[in-house]
Amino acid sequence: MKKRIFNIYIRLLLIFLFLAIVFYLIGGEQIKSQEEASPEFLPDGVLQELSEGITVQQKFTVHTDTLEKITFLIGTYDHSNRGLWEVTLTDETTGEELEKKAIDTSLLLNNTYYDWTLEYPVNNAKGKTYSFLVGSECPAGEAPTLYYSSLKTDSGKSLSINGDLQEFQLCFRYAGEHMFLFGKFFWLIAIVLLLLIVLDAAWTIWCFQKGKNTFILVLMSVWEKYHFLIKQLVTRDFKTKYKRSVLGYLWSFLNPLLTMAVQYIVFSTIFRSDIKNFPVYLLTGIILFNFFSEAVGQGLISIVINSALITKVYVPKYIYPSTKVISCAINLLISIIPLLAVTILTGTPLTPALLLLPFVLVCLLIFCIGMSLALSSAMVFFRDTQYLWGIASLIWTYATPLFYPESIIPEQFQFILKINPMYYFVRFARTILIDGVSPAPPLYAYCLISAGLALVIGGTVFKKSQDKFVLYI
Amino acid sequence: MIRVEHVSMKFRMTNDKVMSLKEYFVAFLQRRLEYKEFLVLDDINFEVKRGEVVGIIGKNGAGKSTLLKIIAGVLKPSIGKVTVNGMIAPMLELGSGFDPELSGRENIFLNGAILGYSNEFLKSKYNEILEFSELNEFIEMPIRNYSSGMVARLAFSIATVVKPEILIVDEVLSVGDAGFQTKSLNRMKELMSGGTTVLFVSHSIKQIEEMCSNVLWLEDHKVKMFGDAQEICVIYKQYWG
Repeated sequence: MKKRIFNIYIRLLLIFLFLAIVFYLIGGEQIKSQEEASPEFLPDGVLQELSEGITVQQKFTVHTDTLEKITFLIGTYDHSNRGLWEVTLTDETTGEELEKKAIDTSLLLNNTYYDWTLEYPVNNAKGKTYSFLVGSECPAGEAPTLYYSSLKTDSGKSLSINGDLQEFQLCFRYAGEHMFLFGKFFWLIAIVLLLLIVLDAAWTIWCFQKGKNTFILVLMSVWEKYHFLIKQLVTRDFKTKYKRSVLGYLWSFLNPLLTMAVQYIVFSTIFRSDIKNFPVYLLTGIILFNFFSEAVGQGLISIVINSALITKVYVPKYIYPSTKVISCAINLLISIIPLLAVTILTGTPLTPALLLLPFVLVCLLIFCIGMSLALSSAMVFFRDTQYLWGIASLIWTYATPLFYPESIIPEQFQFILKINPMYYFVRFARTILIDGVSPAPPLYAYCLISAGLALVIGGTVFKKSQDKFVLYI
Repeated sequence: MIRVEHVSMKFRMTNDKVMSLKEYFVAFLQRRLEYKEFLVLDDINFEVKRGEVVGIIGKNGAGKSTLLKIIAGVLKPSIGKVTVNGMIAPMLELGSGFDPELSGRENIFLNGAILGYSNEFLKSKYNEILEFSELNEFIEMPIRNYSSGMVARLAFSIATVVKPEILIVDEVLSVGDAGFQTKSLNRMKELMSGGTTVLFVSHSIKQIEEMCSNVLWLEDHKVKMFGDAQEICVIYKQYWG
């Protein structure tokens, strides 16, 4: 037995190391930093002609960790220009001149954004104030100008022309990298987690020798005793699901594909142009959400329909909702095949980021188990739960951007997305499939927290009420 | 083997059976939710040793089935403690652990798993179960096509062929045709003589007299008598005239 505990922990450690390395390789730049730009200011008009002798200075405070690019809107009055502009970036706190660039104004086009990508990106820029200075050597009548926006910045008057402060500001924006602490300290975090596993192993072995129980020991004994039952219950659900239908398992492919086809036809004219790869966008949402509503819907009645067994045989009761969710998950895995097929057919290449898909599937599985535990115990006491869930899952469907883009939700209702775990799961899967990259670290955290929270709440509700089940079913 | 100490079971019953959320809330708001405490078992004490066959008798509603549920571990007693050493095989109501869409063979493994047997064990006993159930080639057919007698035979075979340490029988002995009934009765006797502890609920005092070594008589939620089967059965019969 002690050897078995040892083996389990050795395996756990190896799996963890393997995952950490794979994750580091696949996660790539996305887990370290994310490019961010300041909000855009709409143009309201142009300044005077910026000819020789005129200098324009725009101060701004940076909110990203690095400063890499400055973009401004050019106006040329549609005449040809001659001469140079000199743009300068200065650190306002130290007064140090950071970078200078000469721009040939004859090449500038009317109404276009000019991107000044810094040769030496500024690190540690967050919270500091910089100034962007434009000086001119162009002859009058042949000089271009800049657009301004009447929107005020948060720091008040920030634009000056030849030293005179103006009421408005330049139509300009900056971009930089937002660094994640997670990416910076990735290996440190990995090592801490590794040490925690080692500590837990030592603790478990110590407890085992003292005859006490720990979480892992309980898990081991439950698995030992009931793995055959779990396997039987899952195969039963799996075998009987399409037992009497002609097409059988083909339905696991057809169902999501047909739903997608219908939604594609109905919504494509409205939303297609806003969304990259609309078919995959739809299908990801459909497959994940269908799994969720089916698994929870089935898990919810699992205690009640097994009442004949529960009143006769002792089996840990959480096995019933959990196995229901697991059997639905097998179905989910089958539906992933058409999803990948559609992704390839629509011309989106599959990238190594696909290896991150199991992460979100496991999180979703745990989330569904948590929901099923809570709702199946509610169902024992109130049979209305089943019908309420029907309505709740319908509302949930509309509250999740499954067939519409996230952007159509008005600002004041954006919180609906923020508190909706399904949104995080679906977005995670979409980032992997459509963009082909790993999502940013916060999304990992949201998925983990949603899953963990659901399991803890569901588990507690279930544990508190399970002794009373027999009296009510 | 089985020790029952000071076991009491209280049910909290609402005056009307409130089933839906709306009704519950209405009742809750009107403060109509009065509970009535209902004592189903009152300080039950007894002990069963290995290999004993104990019959449990008493009127309807005396608490026999509740007591069996507590021993089987599906109900927790309000007060008291039950200690059980050994694996319990409850005799399920006719095929309640079966799935109608699965074949007889698949159901043997499903039902066996629910009863707590391992895969290897069921595989080694598979032929014995098949033979005893007399299902022959029907074993590969989905159970929904079985007659109720066939289902009962299969259920009985699974529960008994595997020789459990403790067997709980709650009035399910009259299954199948006359031939199978004799066979199952013989099988029960064989188990009882072979060291299996049996808890046996029946309203047929004749069966109890014939098969049990000890009898527990429950009356008004309490133990009225516990002891030798023959003696108690005589008193029980006199009691009922």
